[in-house]
Amino acid sequence: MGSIQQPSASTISKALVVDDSMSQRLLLSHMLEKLGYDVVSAKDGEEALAKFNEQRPDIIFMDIEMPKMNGIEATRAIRKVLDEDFIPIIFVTGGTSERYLEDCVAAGGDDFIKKPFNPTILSAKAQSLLRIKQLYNEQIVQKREIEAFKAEEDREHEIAAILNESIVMAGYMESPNVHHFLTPMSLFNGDILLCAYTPANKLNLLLGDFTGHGIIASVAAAPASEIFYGMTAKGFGIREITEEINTKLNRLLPAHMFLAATLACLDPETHNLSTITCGLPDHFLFNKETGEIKTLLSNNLPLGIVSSQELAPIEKHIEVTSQHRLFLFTDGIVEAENSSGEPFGFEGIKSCLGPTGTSSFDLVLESLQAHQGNQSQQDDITLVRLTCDFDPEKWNTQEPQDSRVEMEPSNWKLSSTMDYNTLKRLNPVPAMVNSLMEIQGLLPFRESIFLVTTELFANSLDHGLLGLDSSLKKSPDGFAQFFELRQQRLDQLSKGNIKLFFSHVPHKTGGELTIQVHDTGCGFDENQVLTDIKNNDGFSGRGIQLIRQICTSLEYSNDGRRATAVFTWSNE
Amino acid sequence: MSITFSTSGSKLTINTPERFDFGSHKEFRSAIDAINASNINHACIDMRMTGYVDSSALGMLLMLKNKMGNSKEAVSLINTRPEVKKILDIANFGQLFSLS
Repeated sequence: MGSIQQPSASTISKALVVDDSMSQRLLLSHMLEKLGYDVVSAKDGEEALAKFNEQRPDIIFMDIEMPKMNGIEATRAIRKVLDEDFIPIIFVTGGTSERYLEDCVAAGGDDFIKKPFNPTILSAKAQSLLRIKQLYNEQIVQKREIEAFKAEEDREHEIAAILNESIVMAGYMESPNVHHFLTPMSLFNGDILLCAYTPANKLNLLLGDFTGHGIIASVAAAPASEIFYGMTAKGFGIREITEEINTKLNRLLPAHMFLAATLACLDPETHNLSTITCGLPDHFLFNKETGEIKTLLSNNLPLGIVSSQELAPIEKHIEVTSQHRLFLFTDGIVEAENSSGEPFGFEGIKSCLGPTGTSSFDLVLESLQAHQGNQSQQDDITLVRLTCDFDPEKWNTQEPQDSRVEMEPSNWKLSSTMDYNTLKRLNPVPAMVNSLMEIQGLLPFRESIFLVTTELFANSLDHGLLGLDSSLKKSPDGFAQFFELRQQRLDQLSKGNIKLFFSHVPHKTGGELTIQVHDTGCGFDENQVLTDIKNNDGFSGRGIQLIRQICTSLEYSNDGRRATAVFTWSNE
Repeated sequence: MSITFSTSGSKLTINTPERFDFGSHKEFRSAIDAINASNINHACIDMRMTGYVDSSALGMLLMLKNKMGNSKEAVSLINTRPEVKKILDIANFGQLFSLS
């Protein structure tokens, strides 16, 4: 027997021998012991089951015909206990028992060995089955590891969803003008949608797509959304917000991570849509009435790669009407494949935008579903439609505030002068208006004060210092031109300043806030502006008209270089 | 298909696969490690085989650029197919790499 190998090199395997014939039992036990096995035995199925539970053998040799419980029943019972664990069971056959072979396999037998036993065959069969057992058990361990890993990942996704819900969505303001579709997985894919109104009732929106997945993307989305909501609430424009988010992400993210994003701002006063596109696929501005589709290309680097100075984001301005719909999306929808692997593509989206009665948004989704067919939902889809609807009812979204000012009205003055270098870099209005809130606590009137200051400041800068002509804005093309020229002249500005002056005096039930904006530009003929307003020559007068509605007085002096508006408030 | 790379003097050439995406990350990392080992001052990414890039591929390119000292001339992307060029254009990578 010198040629017969011992079972496992390192450990001794335990064999269970089940046979009702004592001589057979002793013979087989003896052979196995000689082969190096540790042997236990049982005289029938019932005892086998008990020994199995008690000893947990590595391999079982099972006779078929036995009293009490036969080998097939015992095998079935053992397999049931083992569940997904594996122990090889070899049936011992001989004589008439061969007719049960099929039943043996069905009950969970792995092999057969015929009486009388040949030690070489016995050893080979046992070893090969023990090897299979070992492989099987290793695989089970790996399977359990993978399952545990998967459970861990699911839990992380849940955390990502909660983080996203509580941090990223916390400041989200529902808008009747923003319609969106995000598949649940797109959150984990790093897509974010942010939306909020500024104090001047402009609608700011950000659609972004982080490189990275799950919890990583959610963590990076948190600072971006906090900046977005914080700065929007303070009235900053999308350029400042873009630069701030970019600076933060550039510092925060490793080299290979970035945020592809588009920021958009819709202004119900000027009907201006401004966009800053940073690395998302082309967007479409669709005119529902004419069917015209304008493509908005990405013309900036994604955020978080270079410094904000290098980024120097380009902001585009388009005058829109209530017929315009801006379709924004991340790459999932463009890349969504059909059964032959063809992407939905830009054409797939564009073909849905037509002058039909049906909602173009729904059409895109339906058409995408038809394209994907049975494999729908394989991709993470994020689609957003910004409706440029200026119906005033849709813009009354600000929550009503308690209109009482808690602070005692008092006498104070505040002035600040910004030279041309400062004006190039920042818009001082949000910070100034915020500091007024600190001084007098005029929070209930924040929006009005913000609006008046913004309009007066914009007039001083655009017309006073930059010498821009509002009549440019009369055509949609001219509108964009106006903003382009504005940026150009601002970059070249080499002299001048703007002074903001605020003074407050109390009266019986409230107070009077005077807002004065003074520029060193060339001035203008105020009478002409007033005539324009009377004749409702729309384009230049809108801001001034608005100020007149809000304020008790608006006067120009010093050849139009100084504008003085008086805002009166009352606690009654 | 996978990433292959070779060095010749001070130039590193990386050939990107048909699908250049997250799956290429490990191999791309080892190609970048070749920069450490030798005196490389120019990296050339040959994209003639590539028909698809995803955002993690763009991230890998940024990682490479970072490694090369962030100069625009240090990394060139050559033989870009139109569909890949479109994606690079959307990301405005022309500002960061020399494209052809």
